[in-house]
Formats: sequence, C-alpha cells, structure tokens
Amino acid sequence: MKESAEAELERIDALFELMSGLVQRSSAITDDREANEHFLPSSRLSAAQRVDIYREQFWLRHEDSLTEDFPGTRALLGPKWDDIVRGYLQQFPPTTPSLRELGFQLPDYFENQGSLEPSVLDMARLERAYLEVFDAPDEPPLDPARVAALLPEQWPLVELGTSGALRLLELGSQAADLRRALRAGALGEIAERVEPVYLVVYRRELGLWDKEISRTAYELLGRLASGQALGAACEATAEQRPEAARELDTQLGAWFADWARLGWITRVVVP
Amino acid sequence: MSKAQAPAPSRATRPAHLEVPDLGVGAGLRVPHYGHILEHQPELGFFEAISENFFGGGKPRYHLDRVAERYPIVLHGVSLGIGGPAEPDKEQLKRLRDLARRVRAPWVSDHLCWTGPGGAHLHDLLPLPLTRSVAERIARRAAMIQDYLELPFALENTSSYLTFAQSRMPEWEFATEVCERADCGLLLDVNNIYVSAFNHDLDALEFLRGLPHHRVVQIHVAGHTHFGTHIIDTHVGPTPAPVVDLYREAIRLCGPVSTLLEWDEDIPEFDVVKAETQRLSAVRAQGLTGDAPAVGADVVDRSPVTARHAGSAGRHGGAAGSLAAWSTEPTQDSSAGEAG
Repeated sequence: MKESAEAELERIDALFELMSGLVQRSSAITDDREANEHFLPSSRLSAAQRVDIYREQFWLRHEDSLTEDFPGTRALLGPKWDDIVRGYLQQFPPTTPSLRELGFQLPDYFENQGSLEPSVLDMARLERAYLEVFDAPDEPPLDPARVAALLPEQWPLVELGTSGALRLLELGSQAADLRRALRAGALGEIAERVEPVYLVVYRRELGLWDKEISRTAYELLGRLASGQALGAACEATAEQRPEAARELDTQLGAWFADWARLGWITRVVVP
Repeated sequence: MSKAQAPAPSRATRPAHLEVPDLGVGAGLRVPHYGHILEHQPELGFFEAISENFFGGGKPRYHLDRVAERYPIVLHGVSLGIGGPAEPDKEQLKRLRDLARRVRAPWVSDHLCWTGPGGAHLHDLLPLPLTRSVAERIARRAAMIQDYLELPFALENTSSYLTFAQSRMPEWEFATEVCERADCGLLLDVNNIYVSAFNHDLDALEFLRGLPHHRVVQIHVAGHTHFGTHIIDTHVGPTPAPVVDLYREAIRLCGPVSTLLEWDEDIPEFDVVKAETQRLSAVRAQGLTGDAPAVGADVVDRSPVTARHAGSAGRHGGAAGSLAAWSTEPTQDSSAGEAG
C-alpha cells in the first residue's frame, strides 16, 4: 500500500535525526551495515565513507570557528584546547544559525570543569563579550535635548537604558590586558593582580573597546542595565559600602557625562 | 556530447514576477575586500551578501550600507534549512525582509537543503531525500516566503556527497518540481552541478539541461577541491575549466542571467577576483552569442589533493567571519573619568 505523504515525511524527519547523530559523532563512521540501510554508495566510496564526509566537515568547521573566536582562551589552554573544544561541542551542540554564537556557552562549560584555571574562565567570558558586542543591533545615541528637558524632580524616577552593545564583567584577572599581551607576544609584561577587575566591554564608532571602572561605578551601571530607576539604583549602590556613598557624591555627574559620551547610556525613560 | 546534439534553449515563458534585471557578472561580498571596494569602487555588476551576516549592527551593517550606496546587492541565505522538519523561523524571515528592503535587493535566495533537525543547527547545507513529499513541503514553504518577502525568491541546487536510499527522482526533476509548484525562482549553481554529478556518478550536462531554465534568476560559479574519490565544494581558486564549460552552456540555455563568482577559501586580493569576473564575462558573452565551444561530457578535473577541508558551508554558510577576519581587535580605553 502506498505510504501517505504525511507518513513519508515523518519517516524522513526521523532519518534527519539519524543523520544528524551520525554527523555529530566524534569518531569516524565505519559501520557500513548501519549506513547502507539509509544511504547509497557511489562507484568510489561506501555509504559509510560518504556520511563520514559530512561528519568530518562538521568537526572541522566548528573547531575552526571556536579557535578563531577564542584566541586568548586557546592560548591559555595550549595543547588541551582541542580536547576541550570536542567536549564542549558534545555537551553544547550548535543550535543557532550564526556560527558567531557557537561559543556563547563556553564559559558555562568551563564553570563545570573544576580543573581549569580561573583565568581561563575569565578569558572565555571576555572573548564571549567581544563577540556579543561586535554586531549587536545599532542604536541611536542619547538625545541631549531629552536629558536637558528633565525636571529636577524627575531625575530619581527616570530609567537610563544602557546600550545593547555593552557588557559588564567582574573578573578575577586582567584578562583584557593578558589577551593583548598574548597577541603581541609580550606575556611577561603583565603583572599579577589579586583584586577583582571591573570591566566594561562596548562598541563605539564600529570599534570594540574595554574600559576598567571602579566597583561602585560597576554596581551602579549594573543596576541601571537591569532597569532600576536612577534614584533607587543610587540608593542601593550607596548602601553597599561607606566608600561607595562618598564616591557617588563626588563622581556621579562625571560618570553620567562620560557614559553618555561613550554611548553606554542610550535612552532616558520617564515613567 | 557535441554542440550539434545539444537541445535548444528552453522555450518556456519566464513568469512575470521572475523578470529580474540582468546585473551582469558580480562577486560575493567578502570581509577582506571591503576596504578596497569602498576606496576604489571597482567596476562590477553587483555584489551578493550572505543575508545572515548582516542581521545585526556594527561593522557588518555599516559596510553593507556603504556598498549598497554604490552597487546593486542581492541577498543569499544559508540557514533557512527549508527542507528540514521545522517551519521557517518567523523572526528570521522578518529580519530578512527588513534587510532586503534596506539594501533594495532585487531578489533573495537560499538553498535546497536542510540544516538540522529539531533545535540543532549543523551549519551545513545537507542533502535531501529526493521525494515528491519533500518537494511539496519545500514548495509550500518557498511560496509562503516569496509572498512574505514580496520579492522573487530563488532556491539553489547544492553540492552533495551523499544519496539517500529513499530518493525517488533525479535532482533536476526534484528542483523543477519545487520551483514549478512554488512558482519561485532557481539559483543555478553550475559548480554544484559539476561536484554533485561527479560524486553521484551522474552526467553533468543531463543535470544542467533538465533544470527549468526559464526560472533561473541567478547563476553561481565557483571552484572546488578534488579528492580523487569525491569533490568538495570549497569555493577555492579560479573556476576550473569544466565548470567554465558548464557555465557557458548554462548561459546558452538560460539567456542573460546575472552571474556571481564565489571565492571563499584562500581569498585573494580583490583585483584577482575582479580579473576572474572579467574572464567569466567573456565566457558569458560566448554563451549569449552562440560562439560557444562544444561541451564535452567527459571533461573532468583529475588532479586530486589530500588536504582536509571544512567545505564552503563554514564561514560562507552561517557566520559573519571572526573578529580577526574583520580586523577588529579590541582596544583598551584608558580615558579618565572614573574614580578608583
């Protein structure tokens, strides 16, 4: 009896699942019996060898992509990189059309690898931030007229929207400097630091930038980015530490001027 | 097959909505060439941009906008996976429509393939079981996409290295079935015909001549890498002689159709790409005037190499190039303004 189109498509979709599993195998496909059931040989290659072309390309393509996108992480891991990338791709197989997003879970994967140096996780988080910021959607700059029109009593209530091309990172190492030194071949010039690094990764005039800021500025920016009103964000930040309150008192105006100039703040929302 | 034995060009009428402009010969828009293109504005028919690489902002979008001010841009997608289990992603289609309007694309294309089951995305242009039910599924989706985009939509025949036991028709019949049912266009890739014909022991000329020429809105030409036992579509180097011969025949059959050179591996200086487009322009003129040498069905590149290749579906087929490819190294901002 002739199979209905719907039933045939169901069978074909199951075949796609099967082929997807074969293509993502870490070792070569050699079992012709399994392949012969669904695929045909050519005059020169067996069915298994033909499926294996796709499998080999899957690994080459994705390993190459991660290697290009995480040069600092790769440099820190050295010869361990290849095995770690294979493990990562098995745990986090690609799910989105863009290869640029392929490594977005790499820091999550590293967090579960207890044996890795914390600096490796820092570097992976930094390099992910660069990738995220690189082609985040464009936004118009903050309109100065909109800021000038705010009444004094409105300021505590406004929400200051941060740019989509901005990421905030608290790191345990100077990953950005380390990455630059690695690429310049000047690793010995980076001094070890024990205190945390508060870093803003952002895009400005098409370029990628990173800028270290104070802990207080970092905490305030984080609150604004999460949608807190300015007044509440300042109060919550000031309550953290006495020095934070003093810093806010003396620096807040300069920070806003700088953050607007750098394109970190792009919107003023008056409730 | 000699020229005298070749069938006459198709007399079928091109559907009105597929009457697209002939843009001559163009090249794929690739990151290493942006600076040269914007500075020197070389004479070229058009550029083709990989759609997904420009859905975001920043450098990619900025450069595409500048190029679009000076050249026609056609959009070529690599991730719809139109033959797979999932329906086309609505958000992706919206981004595609917005981008097409932004660059005033005269048509939009993607591939006859699937890219992953369920939530997976393998970043490859995977081969399809060539059955009527799959053709119907793709045709339904292609018709919907064409309506949504309000632009001619074309599907490209892909290179493949594998045949499903379940296939019931040759690929040219399958492509014809899809395009006729969907009333959409065909992006005819002559290198893919050559590659697939070798890999599947088919006759490349029979493949080419079996396609619906009146639906061809664009032609792709590229190079490949021969491994002896199979050929991989790497888009490397100048167009090999047998592919050039197929291209000339394609033009003879299809008429003046916009032609694009794809060069994605070991990308040379733009002047080298430009010279190759000029060579293809001369071949195109031969095909249009009937001044075409006979095409031999036995012309096969017999120079296998053994290097491993990730194929063309890598950076071409899904991503926008690494930050290094964009010459985008992050810069430290040490400007004053912060305390601490």
